[in-house]
Amino acid sequence: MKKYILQRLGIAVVTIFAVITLTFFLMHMIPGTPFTRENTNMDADVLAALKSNYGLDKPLWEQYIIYIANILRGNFGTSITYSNRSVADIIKTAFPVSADLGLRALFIGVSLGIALGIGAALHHNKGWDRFSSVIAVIGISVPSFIIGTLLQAAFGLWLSSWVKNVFHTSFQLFPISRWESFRYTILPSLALGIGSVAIITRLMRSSMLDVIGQDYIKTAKSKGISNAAILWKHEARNALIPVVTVVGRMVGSICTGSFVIESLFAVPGLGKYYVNSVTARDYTLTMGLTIFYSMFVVASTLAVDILYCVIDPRVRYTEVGK
Amino acid sequence: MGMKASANEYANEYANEYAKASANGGFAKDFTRIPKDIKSSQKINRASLTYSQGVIRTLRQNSFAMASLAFIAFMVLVAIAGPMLLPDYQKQDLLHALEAQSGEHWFGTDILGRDVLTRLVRGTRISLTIGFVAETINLAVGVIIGGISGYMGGKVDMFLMRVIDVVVSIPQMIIIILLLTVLKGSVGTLLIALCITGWTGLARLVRGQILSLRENEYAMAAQVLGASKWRILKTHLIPNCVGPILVNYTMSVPGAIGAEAYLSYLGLGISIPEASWGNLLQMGANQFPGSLWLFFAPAAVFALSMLAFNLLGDGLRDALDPQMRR
Repeated sequence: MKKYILQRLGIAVVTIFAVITLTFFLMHMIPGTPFTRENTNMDADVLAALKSNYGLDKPLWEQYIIYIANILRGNFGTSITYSNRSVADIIKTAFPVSADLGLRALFIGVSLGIALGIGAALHHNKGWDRFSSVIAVIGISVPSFIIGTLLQAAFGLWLSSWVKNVFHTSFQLFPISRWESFRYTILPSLALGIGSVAIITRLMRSSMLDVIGQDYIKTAKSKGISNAAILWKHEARNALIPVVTVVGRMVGSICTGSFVIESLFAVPGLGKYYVNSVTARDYTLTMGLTIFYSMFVVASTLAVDILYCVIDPRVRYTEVGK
Repeated sequence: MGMKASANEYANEYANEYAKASANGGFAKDFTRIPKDIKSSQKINRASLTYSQGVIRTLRQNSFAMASLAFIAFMVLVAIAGPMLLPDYQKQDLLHALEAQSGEHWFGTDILGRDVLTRLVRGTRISLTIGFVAETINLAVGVIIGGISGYMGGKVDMFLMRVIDVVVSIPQMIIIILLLTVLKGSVGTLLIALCITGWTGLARLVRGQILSLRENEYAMAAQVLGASKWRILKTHLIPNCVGPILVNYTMSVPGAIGAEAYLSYLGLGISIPEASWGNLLQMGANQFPGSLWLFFAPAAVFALSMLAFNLLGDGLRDALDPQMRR
C-alpha cells in the first residue's frame, strides 16, 4: 500500500509540473508582448520599462524558474483585466461559489441517481426501469447547456412570469442569472446535476443487477431475512461500491465549476472567470486559473484514490499491478 | 472421432438388444420400441455461424441500434451531399432576419437573415468531420501505443504507462481551452486539441486486451508451434481486440462532437461565419424564447445524433459480448 501511495503521489507531482510547464511555454508562444496588444505604436522606452517591471526582459528559463517559485509560494500574479486584483484573490472569492454550485449539483446527481438506479434494478424490464433508462439516455445525450437553456425558458421565464401575472407581484420565482439566495441556485444546480444523474443511474442499475444475482443474496433469502433488510443491508450497500468510486472521482472536477453553466447563468465562479479570461486574453489570469484548477482536480482525485486504498483492501491488489 | 465411434457402438448395441427382445416377444404390444436413428440425430441442420456473423445477427435484432445506425448513415449522407445542394451558408439577407419557418426557409432565418437549414447542413459537415477525424486519429495512436506497450512489456511498458497516467490526470478541457487561447479557433486547432489527450483511453484498453489475450492458450500454442511475435500479434491478438475497440470508437465520436459543441457554445471553438452545431446552438440560445426554431433545430439534430451514437455503441457492446447473445 505504501508503494501504491508513493507511486500515485509521484504521478500527481509530475502531472502538476507538466501542466505548469505546458502553460508557461504555451503562453510565451503567443506573438507580441502583453502590452502591445491594443497600443501598437508604443514608445520603445516605455515598453522596455514595462518589460523590466514585469521581469519580461530576463531570459525565458529565468522567467520560468521565477514563475515556478512564485506559484510554490501561492503567488499566481496579478490579473490584467480586473485591475489591481491578484489572481489568488479572484480564486479566493470565486472558488467557494463554484464549490457550492458543484456540491449542490452533486447532491442532486447522487440522490436522484441512486434512487432511480435502485428502482430500475428492482423492477427490471418493467415500467420503472424503462422510465429511468429514458432519463439516463436523455441525461447522457443532451448536454447541460441545452438543458440549462430549456430550464431558463420553462422556469425562469414562463413559470416565473405566470406567477408574476397571477399574484400581481414583481417577485421572480426562479431568477436566471447571478448567485445570491437559494432561489438563484436551483436552476443552475439542476442543469449541472442532470448529467451526473444519468451516469449514476446507469451505474447503480447495472451494479444492483449484478449484486442481486449473487449467491450471498440467495443465502440471505433462504435464511429468511426480510426483503427490506436484504435490500438495504446487502444489495444497496454492496451495489454502492462502484458508484462511490465514480462519485469520488467526480468531486474534483465538479467542485471547480462548470464553464458552460456558470457562463449561462452568470454565476461568478471559477468557470466564468476562466472563460472570460480566455476571451479577454487576460493571460496571467488564464495561467493562474489553469494551474489552480489542475492542482485541485489532481489533488482531490489523489485523495479519493488513497482513501479507497485504505477503505477497500481489494483496490490495493488490483491497482498496484497495473 | 471418439464421439462418433461410441455413437455407432451404442446404435449397434441398441439394435441387438431390440432384436433379442422382439425374438423373445418380450415388450408389451402397445409399446413397440423403435430403434433411434442415432446418425440423423447427430446431424447439424443449420449452417454454423462464425463469430462475426453472430455479432451481425444479434445487432440486426436490436431495433434501437439499427435505427441509430440508419440515422447516423443519414447524417453522414447529409454531411457529404447536403452542402452541395445548399451551398450558400454565409449568404445574409438582413431584410428577412429572424423569420419564422416558412416554405422558403424551412427552419427560419437567423439574426443576419441566413437560412438556418443551410447552416445546419454545413454545421453537420463540420461537426461530424471533427468527431470522426479526431477519433480516427486517436484510434490509430491509441492502438499503436497500446499495442507496443502491451506487447513489448518491461521498461517500455512502464514508461508508456507512466506517461499515460500523467496525461490522464490533466483535466482535458483545460488543455483544450489553453490551446485555443494560443492558436486560432478553427477545425484544425480543435482536432489538435482533441487528439492531444484523447488517445489515452484506447491505449489503455488495447494494452489491457493484449495482456489478457497473450496469456490465452491459443496464443501460447502458436508460440509453441514457432510462430513469430509479429504473426501472433497479427493473426490472434489484433482480431480479438477489434470488438472492444469498435465499441470504444463508437462511444467516443459523440464525445468529440460534444466537446466541439461545448467549446463553440462558450465562443472558444469554431467561430462564425463558419457553421458548426456548437455555434448554431449558441446563436439559438442567445435568441432563445424569441425564435424557437433557431435553437430547437440544432438542439434536436445534435441531441438525436448523440443519442444515436450512444445507442449504437450499447447495441454493439451487447452484440459483441457472447454472454449477452441469445
